[in-house]
Amino acid sequence: MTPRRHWLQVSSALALALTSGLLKPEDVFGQIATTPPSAKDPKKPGLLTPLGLGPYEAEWNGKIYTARRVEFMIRAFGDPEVWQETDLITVKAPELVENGAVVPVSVNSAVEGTDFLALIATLNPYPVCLGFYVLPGTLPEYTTRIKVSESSTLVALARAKGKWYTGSTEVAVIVGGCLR
Amino acid sequence: MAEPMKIRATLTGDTVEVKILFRHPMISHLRWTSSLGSLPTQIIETISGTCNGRLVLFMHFGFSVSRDPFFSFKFKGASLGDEVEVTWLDSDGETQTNRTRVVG
Repeated sequence: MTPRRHWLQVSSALALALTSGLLKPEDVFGQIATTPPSAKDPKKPGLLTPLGLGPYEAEWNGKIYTARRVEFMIRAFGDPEVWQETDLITVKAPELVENGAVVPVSVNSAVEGTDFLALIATLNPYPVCLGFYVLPGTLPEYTTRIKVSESSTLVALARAKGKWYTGSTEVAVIVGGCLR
Repeated sequence: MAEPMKIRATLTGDTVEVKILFRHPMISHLRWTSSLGSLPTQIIETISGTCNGRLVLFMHFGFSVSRDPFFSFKFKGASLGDEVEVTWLDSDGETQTNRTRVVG
């Protein structure tokens, strides 16, 4: 079966299930259907288990890192889905990128008490790029290279003292990067 | 994955900037080639870094990080000659560690 016919059948079946009430909207649009391999195995030891690090021990959680939107990522942490756009969180990325497979991005948070800083590329198939725990003594900023599939917004999501903040920037991409 | 990652830690003032270049294919299952078809997912998932035994870095990568990822971050409270060690764990269960000294 050609890929196009396959996806037409899948999407029309999903639409039918959604309208008939068999599937909730969250199941269809909310989370990505696949879970990462390590999230399926609950007995897999964490990287830091021998060191016993308490509050920083967080497994690569399928729900957090496969969330498709900012609100679903906040919900996966168990927090109410409210956040505030602020200029204190800066995301620096080139405005126009030829090769979407390598986009240098720099994130900085000037919000007091930041303890988690994530980077989300909104229109990627897997939007969440990074989750960075700000440990005592470490500055809440980093630079990295990500894949961007199409021209979209890059959002930096920060948690400071229990509240969530976002900062964003736009990136235009000529050749998408997710299939490479 | 066979090659060790490159780490450089430089001290400027009171802040150490650490730059890491991982060697890893970072394949998400979306990658499709006409000869091999769909490739199995293989990405670095968790990274931790210590400086003289003190934990300074703990983060997770998602699917959208480039191949051979580059990452740089800053921390305070170290001096020249301290040992910075970085470890990663990937989706296949493989792990790799490398260490370097802080230079000025």
